Amino acid sequence: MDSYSGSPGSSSPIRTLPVEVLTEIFGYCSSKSPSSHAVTLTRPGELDVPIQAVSSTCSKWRSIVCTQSTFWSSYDLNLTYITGPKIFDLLIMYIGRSGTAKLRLGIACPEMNADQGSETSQSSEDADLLPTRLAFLAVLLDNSSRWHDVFLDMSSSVFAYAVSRLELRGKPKEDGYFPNLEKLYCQDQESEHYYLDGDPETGRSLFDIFQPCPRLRDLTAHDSWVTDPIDYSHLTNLDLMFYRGRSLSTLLSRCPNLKEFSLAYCSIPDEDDFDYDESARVWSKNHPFSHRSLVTLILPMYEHFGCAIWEDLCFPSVNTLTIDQIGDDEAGMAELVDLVSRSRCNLRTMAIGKMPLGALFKLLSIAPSLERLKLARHYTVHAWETNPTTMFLPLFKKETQHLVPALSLQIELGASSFVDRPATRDVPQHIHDMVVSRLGEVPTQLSFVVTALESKQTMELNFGFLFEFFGARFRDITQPLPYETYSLALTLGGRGS
Amino acid sequence: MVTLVTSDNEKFNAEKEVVERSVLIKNMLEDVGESDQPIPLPMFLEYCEHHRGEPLPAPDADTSQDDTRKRTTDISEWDQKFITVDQEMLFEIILAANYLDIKSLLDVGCKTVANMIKGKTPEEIRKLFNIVNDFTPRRRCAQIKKENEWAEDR
Repeated sequence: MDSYSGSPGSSSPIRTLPVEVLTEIFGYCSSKSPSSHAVTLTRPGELDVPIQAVSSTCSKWRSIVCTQSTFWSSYDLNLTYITGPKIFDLLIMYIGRSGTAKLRLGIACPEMNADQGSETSQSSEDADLLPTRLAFLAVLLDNSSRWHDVFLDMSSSVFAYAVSRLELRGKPKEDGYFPNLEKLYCQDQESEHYYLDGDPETGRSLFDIFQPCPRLRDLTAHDSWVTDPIDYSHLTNLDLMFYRGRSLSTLLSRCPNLKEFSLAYCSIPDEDDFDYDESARVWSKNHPFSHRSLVTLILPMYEHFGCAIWEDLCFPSVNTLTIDQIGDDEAGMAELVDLVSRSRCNLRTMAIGKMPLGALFKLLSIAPSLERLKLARHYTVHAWETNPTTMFLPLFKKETQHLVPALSLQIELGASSFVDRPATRDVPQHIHDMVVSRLGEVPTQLSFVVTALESKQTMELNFGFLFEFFGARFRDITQPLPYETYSLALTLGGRGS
Repeated sequence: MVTLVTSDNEKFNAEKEVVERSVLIKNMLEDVGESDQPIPLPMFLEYCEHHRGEPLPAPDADTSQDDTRKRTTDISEWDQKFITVDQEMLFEIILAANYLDIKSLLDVGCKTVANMIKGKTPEEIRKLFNIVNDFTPRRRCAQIKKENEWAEDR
């Protein structure tokens, strides 16, 4: 055992702890929360390094902290907030301490005109700092082989600078510029194609650079074009805001191991402005591509579909469908129903948000074996702006009962309260009618999720009311308290229990 | 049954399933086999008894840097109550958990100390743990100051 006999005073019991235990303890102190980073710069000139308090305590602790590379391998930085050379020097020093550890990065870099020769509308101070900021970005890019979990939000000009910096190295090796990248989030990084009005020859797509990424598992991107050189055989999660192409089969056939796919919008690009060869499609309505790995399909804004994008696809393994919002687009809904029927998949879990009653009925009709239903408040709906008794009423009606068997129900209440509004006070009764009266022999889970950030008081009111209403009927009550969300989970026994 | 003997020679009998939450004891029992020979150990029966039946972490589990980074400092209510002791006892528990290789108890101890440190200034940490500030004035002026003077960029 590497015994610790450092500087704490002789009466300090902490001196008895060995270095490996202190390292373990300090690991918990290296960021404010499990999801936050070790080094953050998210306000102008305000560098936040929680572990610095530990390293400034005594020389022994400092030695432990400064030599533990993983304590220095996580950064959340807005590069425009590098407001002087001292912050730059410190960041360089911290990156040096990260040694060869894999890096978890959040890099925000809005427009700061990477073309240093041109006139800009920025302040002279910003112009003076531009080389410093780009120099730090260059340091991060020079360590691209260590990028592991990365969030990117760059303007087009900064992205162009990053590309040119990477290409200075010449053609990458077989495993690309990012051989260890496992998770990439760049939903705000719009495709260069988008900016260049569909001229793929002059722009560089995100996928030109992040390809190949042999270890990439989880990708969130703003948009993808059918012509993008995507070939992510390792990918298990793909989240796209936009897809521009006639069919998703081209994209999904290149991601055979995908488990979860999320798509908000799709559109068909103008073939005159784009090198788009329709005849290159391998799959057709009569010969659909069957994606056997996909389990979860997420469609946040389904109202913008309805362009036959599913027609040459089927997902036989999909068991979870999440739809945040559906508009009045009947054609799109019909396509989705066709997709589920054609796929012969068995939907067990559905999470649904704001949608017309007809769409809700259709969704329920294609999920006869539904086990879990999550009623989510869409993010565009504030504080029961849509009366939940109207929104979810079909679920409580007798004619819906054969569509909704006894199931696990989760209701997201958001920050809203049904306690102080007469119109919504009936919700617990409806929930009771729907779930409790349909209980089978199998215990059923009922949970309520409240985002507590906005109003803890509302949360407590909701929970108090629910507890009072349901309390006597529930066998087991737990109240886990994670960071931002409070939930009340209740287990109901089978009928007669 | 296994007989545990504390450092002051007090004997405790415990079920094998309970004490085997300690990887060290489990290995010792495997090495020794069936024997009447008592094993000298400090008292951790209460903790092990409470967590009896819970799955033990895999030997190589949770070692990646990413997992390490994302672990929370949340402690269950029972563990929190169990670990609410004075500093001397707290560090003894941590040392013993480390020696006995009881990963879950070591985690509880480390999280407890981490929660005591979090949000405090170096001076507050020194005061809390009675640590002497041994930085030489020269070193303090140089490196530490450098790391704290970034605010001048603002």
